[in-house]
Amino acid sequence: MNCFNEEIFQKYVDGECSETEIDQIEAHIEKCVECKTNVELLRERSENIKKQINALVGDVPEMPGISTLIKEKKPVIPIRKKLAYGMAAASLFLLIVLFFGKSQQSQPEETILFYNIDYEIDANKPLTEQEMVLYITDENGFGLNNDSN
Amino acid sequence: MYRVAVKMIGDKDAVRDIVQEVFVCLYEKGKGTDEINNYSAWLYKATYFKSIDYLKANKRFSKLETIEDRTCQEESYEQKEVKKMIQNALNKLDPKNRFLVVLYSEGLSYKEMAEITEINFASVGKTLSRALKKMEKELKTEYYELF
Repeated sequence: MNCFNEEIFQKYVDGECSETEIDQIEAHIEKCVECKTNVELLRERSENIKKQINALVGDVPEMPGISTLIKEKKPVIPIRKKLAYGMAAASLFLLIVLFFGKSQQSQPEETILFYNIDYEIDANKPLTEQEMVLYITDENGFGLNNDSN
Repeated sequence: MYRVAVKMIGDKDAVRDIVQEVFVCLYEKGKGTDEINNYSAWLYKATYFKSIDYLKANKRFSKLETIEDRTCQEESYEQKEVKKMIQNALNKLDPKNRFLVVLYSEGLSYKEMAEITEINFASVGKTLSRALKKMEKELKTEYYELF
């Protein structure tokens, strides 16, 4: 019977064998008692040595954190995206200018009105029968005539 | 890193300095133009080289009993002796094999171990198997001498 060497068994114990190798080893150790014992001993040896070496460490002291050691690369914005952002910003600026320009134009203009009072006092008549004319005109001379008694 | 360095050299005070030195080295490297592709592997490697430097520098001096050793009353005499025995067995391996066994005890895969130790991936299994066998033999001898 062709037995495997210790190196292959060590790999098998450590879970480093390929699927084909695992199948071959498992088929072999089913038949060969000596190799089966060897595999069990190797597994035991590996576990014991790992356990014993790890027992050397004890409590691990807390290490302080480290920051800003690794330089972060700034994300590169593609030129098409840059162009799209630029266009959007320009359109927004144009809209704002148009809106404010229009709103300023729609404000009512100031009109100056002139008035003139024409009256004649008749001393023989009572106050309620006295005559008075009020002329209201704009700066161009157009306006309303308001007659009042 | 701390765990790996403790397993490599055993002296916890020296390990704190080593970890600090590795981070200083990483910081200096970060300032330069050299890029590190695999940070995890780089840190393991740097810890290994710093540990080796420490071992070389302190080869002539025998380790004195530290305050920690004297004040730690929780561990029994037997536990301390077992730890010493494991450390001795590890120290009997050559540095590269010791590092491989230490990485193995940390649960790293063969691929990761090959990348860190720069051993050919195909020979990781063979090297590890031999190192573990040697360590087992050393442990058995030490255990026989001790008890």
